[in-house]
Amino acid sequence: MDLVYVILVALLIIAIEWVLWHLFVSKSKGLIFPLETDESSFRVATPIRLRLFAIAHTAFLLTLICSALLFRW
Amino acid sequence: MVIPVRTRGTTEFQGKYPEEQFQFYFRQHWIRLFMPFARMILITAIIATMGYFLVELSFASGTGSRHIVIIMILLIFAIVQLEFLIHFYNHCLYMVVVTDRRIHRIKKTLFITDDQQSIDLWVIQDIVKSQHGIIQNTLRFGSLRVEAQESLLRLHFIPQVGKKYEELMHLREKARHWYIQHQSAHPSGSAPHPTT
Repeated sequence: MDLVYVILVALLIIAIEWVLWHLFVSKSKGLIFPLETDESSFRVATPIRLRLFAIAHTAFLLTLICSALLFRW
Repeated sequence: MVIPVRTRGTTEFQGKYPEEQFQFYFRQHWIRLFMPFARMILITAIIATMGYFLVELSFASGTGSRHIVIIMILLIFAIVQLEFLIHFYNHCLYMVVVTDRRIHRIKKTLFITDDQQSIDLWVIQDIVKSQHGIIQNTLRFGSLRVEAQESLLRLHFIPQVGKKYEELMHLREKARHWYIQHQSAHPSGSAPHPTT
């Protein structure tokens, strides 16, 4: 597949992930998120780790989809 | 007893009154995400297997069908992944906060829901804990039904439900004691909030 179309697909994925993250951030205002020292079973989901998870998920989607379009088309 | 490491009383959240003191909070048990995660893994595995056989086998039959198959597979894969991501975000947006005066249930989703229900501790009549089945008892999660005269608050997939139940009972008694003292000492004014 042409590199231009692959770039467009990549931008679409990034846009969707950004929209979902932005919605999540706006909805989570006023909520409590765990500190690293919390005893909660959800303590791994600190704000920084959630942001890293979103970035990692985006990178995962981009890698698989773009490599499939480039090398298996 | 549940003793959060964060400082009691100072944590702010939406719907908190100035005189309330934060006690603890929790989200639903991680088991709530297990089925969406398992569904995502299963569908990804199925379409990866189907994609391998269809793409490899259809290589000789022309590029048109191959392209269509690849697009369909990638589309399904992306939808499944984004669906799980939305489930995860929605899981993070559901929270129950307990203060020395109220129980607040904040329930939000990314697109549709934005609810908050609060119930005063001193009006609570019954707190019913439910843990049914091997999984709930092994993983120590369950449900709480908090009943007041005109309100009912149902909380499901509560982690460490036994500890939460005991803590709520304890806080309810303290809140009732404070309310009775407040009524007798200050019939028409305000009184200091109960100390922990």
